[in-house]
Amino acid sequence: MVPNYLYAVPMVLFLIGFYAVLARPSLIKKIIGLNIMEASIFFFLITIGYKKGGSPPIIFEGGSNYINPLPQAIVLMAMVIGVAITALALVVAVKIFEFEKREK
Amino acid sequence: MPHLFVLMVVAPFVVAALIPLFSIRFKNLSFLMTALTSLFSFCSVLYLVVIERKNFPLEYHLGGWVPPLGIGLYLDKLGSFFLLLVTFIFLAVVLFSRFFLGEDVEASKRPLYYTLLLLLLAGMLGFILAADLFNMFVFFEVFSISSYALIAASGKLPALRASFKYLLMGTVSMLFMLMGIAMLYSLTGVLHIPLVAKELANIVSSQTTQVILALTLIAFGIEAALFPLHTWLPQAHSLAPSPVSALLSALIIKMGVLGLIKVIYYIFGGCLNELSPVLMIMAVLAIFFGAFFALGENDIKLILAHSSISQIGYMVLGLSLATYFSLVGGLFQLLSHALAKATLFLCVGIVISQTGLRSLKDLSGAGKESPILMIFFGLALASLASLPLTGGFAAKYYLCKGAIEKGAWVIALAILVGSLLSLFYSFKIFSSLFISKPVKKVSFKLSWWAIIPLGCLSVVSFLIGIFPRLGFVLIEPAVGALLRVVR
Repeated sequence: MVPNYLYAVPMVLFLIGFYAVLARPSLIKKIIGLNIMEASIFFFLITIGYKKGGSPPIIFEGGSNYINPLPQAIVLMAMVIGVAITALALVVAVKIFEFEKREK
Repeated sequence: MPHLFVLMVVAPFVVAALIPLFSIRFKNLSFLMTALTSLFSFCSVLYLVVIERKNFPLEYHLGGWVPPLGIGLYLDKLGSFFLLLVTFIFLAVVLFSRFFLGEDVEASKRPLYYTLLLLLLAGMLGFILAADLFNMFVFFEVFSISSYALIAASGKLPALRASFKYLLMGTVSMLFMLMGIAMLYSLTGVLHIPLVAKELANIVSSQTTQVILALTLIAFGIEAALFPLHTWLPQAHSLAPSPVSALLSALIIKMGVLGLIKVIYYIFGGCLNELSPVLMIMAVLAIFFGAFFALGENDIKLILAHSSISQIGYMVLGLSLATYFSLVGGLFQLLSHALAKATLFLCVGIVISQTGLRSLKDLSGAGKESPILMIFFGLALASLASLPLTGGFAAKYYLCKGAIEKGAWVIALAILVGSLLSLFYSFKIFSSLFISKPVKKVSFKLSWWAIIPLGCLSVVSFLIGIFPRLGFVLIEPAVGALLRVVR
């Protein structure tokens, strides 16, 4: 099992990202904040799956004590969703910037 | 036909991918493909509900892998209630899109609009059917992302801002949900919802379970626009193209409510403990504040958007009271509100696109020219105002009955006062559109593409109001399914 204090790192990152989303006026910084929050959850998921002294979840001869591969699969899928959201957010932000530039 | 399950979710995805390809050569094919796909999903839901009704709850394991190893789809009576609602209203909105769209979406962008609509459908169907926490999350994101893009479809600055705001709040809600799911997984070691519930039943309520409950409730609360988390809703719903507003208000926020149902009942088995009063207070505040905001507005779409906030309050109230009658009332409210709001937003779409006006002052008397529009509008507004012999009235009657049964007199009173307020703002819209003196001469052109879907929505809404039994045929088994998982 993983020592409990490792869980503190993703939680702190999560809050930093959340702060950026809430308090920063810049749209780009808000998007960065979202990405930090996302990354923190990925850390958390990877930490859940880890075992001390475990081997990668690929079956090989004499291998034992595999770590849990499921959180890694979840992280992969969540990453894809994260990319989609970041892309859409950037498109919308760029469009908003264009409009604002034209107004000036 | 056990594979119908998967086909229902996969078909919209495949067609959504095909539409941009086909539309290079055949411009008009996109509507036909979308309409046929939504008709297919409506028919398959009807098949499942009518023919397979004896075999409920249905379960399907993808690739034959049994959970916890494999991924499962799960359908009980509650799911079939939501499936019918979603596919019916979606079909009506797609047919209406053929008539409408007008200036809001350029002709060259229409195939993409239909693609996003189909992704919305696929996401909602998948979300209803998913028996797996992580799949639930993925499908949730599928329909959320397509709704962010659909709100921005007009490409104007206010719509873009509204879309960005919704995107930010929606993504934060998604991340809260993912965090909750990760914690649930670390606590129980499984993702299949019935197995998670079984594991949780053996675990004593601790700080971890409370944090999970709080995270997931906030996540779905944002999506359902529950009162303090509603701030994205007014702009997003009022600035989207009108068929999209109809879908958002009638279905997407209901998915948030379904998410709340899944968390409270299917995962936590109805054990809300300290959080039940919190939800109740939020719901009552939502009823009042939404109605007050609606009374203060002058823009017709903003009034409808604010009234959605108020109406969502009743559904959440029904969930948090958790008696038999209150659940019936909550689901009845969900049904009648979805039908009424879809009709209203589609009608308002016609009014706005053909007159170019949005504020009630400019529009006064505009509806007098078109009696058929007046009938649709009037029926839907009556249901929203919960006048007797409408769906809204039956819903509030059962909610009050549930509240009184539980001895919560204050809440019963709040429901009554809230429906009085909703009567005020409904009458405000109706009187200025159809009773007061016309300012300008306007005429409406309606084609069959508009009248048929609006007529279907209104007829169903009307019949449910006159014969609440028709609604109960769906709702009673759904509530039965909910109460079965309570522990």
